[in-house]
Parts: sequence; structure tokens; C-alpha cells
Amino acid sequence: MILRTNRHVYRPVRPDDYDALYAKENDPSSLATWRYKTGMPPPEEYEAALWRQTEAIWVVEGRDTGRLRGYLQLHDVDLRAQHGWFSIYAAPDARSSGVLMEGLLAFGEIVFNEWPLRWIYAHSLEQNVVHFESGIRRGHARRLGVLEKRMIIDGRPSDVHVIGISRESWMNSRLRARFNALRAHDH
Amino acid sequence: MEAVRSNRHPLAYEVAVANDPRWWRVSRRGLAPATIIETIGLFSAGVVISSGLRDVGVAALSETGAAGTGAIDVWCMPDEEARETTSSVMVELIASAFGVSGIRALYHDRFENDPHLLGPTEALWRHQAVFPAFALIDGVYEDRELRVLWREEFEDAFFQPVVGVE
Repeated sequence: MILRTNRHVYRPVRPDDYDALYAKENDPSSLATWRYKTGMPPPEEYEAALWRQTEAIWVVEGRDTGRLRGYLQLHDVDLRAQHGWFSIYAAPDARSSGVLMEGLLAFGEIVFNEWPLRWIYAHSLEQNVVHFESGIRRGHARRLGVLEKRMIIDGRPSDVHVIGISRESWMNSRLRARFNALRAHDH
Repeated sequence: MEAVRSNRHPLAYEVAVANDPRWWRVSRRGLAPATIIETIGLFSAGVVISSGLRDVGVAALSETGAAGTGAIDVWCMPDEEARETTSSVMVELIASAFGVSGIRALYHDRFENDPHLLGPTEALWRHQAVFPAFALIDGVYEDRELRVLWREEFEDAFFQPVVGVE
């Protein structure tokens, strides 16, 4: 599925995106709080690392520049129990642009329309959980728990929040309706 | 207890199948023996639990990484002797897990109707998260709870320093 908003195109990743993704992920501000906490793999091992335990990846491409601004990742899918995990990565130069929030909406729309999942879950570090708070307050997402001192970030223990979004809550949410109405209006 | 060897994998497979789908971590990709054995082979460490007369259960350590934490799976055959034997060795088993791995915390997750196998350590495990309706078991969706055991609290409870008097 390729999903378009007025600012971005969300499309499946292609091998020719790897160089740009690698460059963006290989950033000091990403390394501390993103998946490669012990350092980036060498470029020749990047594809395997990117796809480890992963079922699908969609890149976020700016419609104005064509440049990649991040990616959405569906991983650790359990089709028997019908749930999976997700991660959303925003490039350093895109973090204050709302790409994380819009990416979350796009991800819900893509995954719940094309994968037979009842729940999607995410781990969110303390410093990133702010992006989910609005959705939690409105009932679109649920905080399933907090893993106290689960990670060590910059030498200090950091909590990890467990976030869950159910198919039912996403499909019936006003947020989803508004997101899709805006997309329809823009096209 | 003895270390899991490659020729002991059939016990772990039997335990997984006998409890299916409750040992979710190893049976979530299906019950093909090769798949289950491959999954078990990814654990960091494992032991077979024996009653002296027969092997009754298995315990395995996984997800040990840079964060200094790990996850422990404990499963046994579905009979009373197996459950009692397994529960009775949990203190030694968890002490070994902390000892061999040097981790600061252990995580353990369980479905709401799983047997209680953590023995005397049960009360020390702290609630962390609940995944509602996580999987379908015997026609009913069961929640899955994730708990943590901190090394310091475990050692305080079971390994008080001995003060000698000369």
C-alpha cells in the first residue's frame, strides 16, 4: 500500500533507499535512543540489520523534496495471535515537523487495512513517549505498562513505556476519520 | 538440573507441545519440531529440570543484552509432580541465571491462567505491563502479564549475608 498525505508519501522501502536511511540513522542523536545503541552495523550488513525480525518497512518521503524523512517498521508479527510491534523513526532534521504523529496515523491506516492484526504494540523510551500522550488521552492508544529502568541511556536507567493500539479503537476513532477526510480533501 | 544439550531438545519440544499454546515464545511460529528446536536454540542458556526419576521441565534465559536485563522462561510437563519439582528449584535456578549472566533484572511473562511455577520467588516479581487479550487459548482470549525481578531484591530475600562470630 502506498499512502499519500499533502506533505508525505508512505511507500514500501526499496534497496536503493538504504544509503539514505543509513546516513540518517548514523547520527549521534539517533544512536542513543534508537535501535543501534551499540553502534551502527557496517554498511554491508545494514540490510540484514534493518530487516531483522521485520515483516514490512515503509519510508516517509517528502512530497516537496523527494527526500526520506524517516520510516515505519512492522516487526515481530505473530499471525497466530494476530498482533505485531511497530517502530517509527524520524530523521534528525524532521523531528519537529510532525512526521512522527502523522507517521503513526499513516501506519495505523496501512497496517489495520492490510494485515490481519488485532493489536500493534510499541516500546517507547521516556523521552519519546510524549508523541503518544495525546493519543492515549483521547483513547486511540493505551499505555499497557511501564518497564521501569529497562534501558540504560547515556549511563542512566530509563523507563520504557509499552503502548498498544487495537484494531477496534483505530478503526472506530474520530482521529482516523479526520485523517482520511483530510487526505481525501487534499486529493 | 543439567545443561541443555542438543540431544535433550526433544524434552523442550515435548514440554512446548504439551502446554501449547502457553509457551508462546517457542510455539508462536507453529509446532513443527524443527521450528521449535530452532527457537529454543536461540536462547542464551537453558537447563533441564529433573525430579530424579524423570526430566520434568525446562528453564531458559533469553534477551540478555546491553541493557543488563534478561528474560526467563520456565515450563514443565502438565502434571502435579512436574509442577512441584519445577517450583521447588526456582530459587537455585534464578540465582544461577543472575550468576551466569551478570544481569540486573529478569523479566518473565505469563498468560493469566498459566500454572504458577516461580515457587518461593513468586511474591518478589513486580507487575510491569499487561497485554489484553494477547492470544486465543482453548477458545478464550487470555491477557499476558509482564513482570520483573530485580537482582538486588532477589538477593536480599534469599541470600542474606552470614555474619560469623568467632
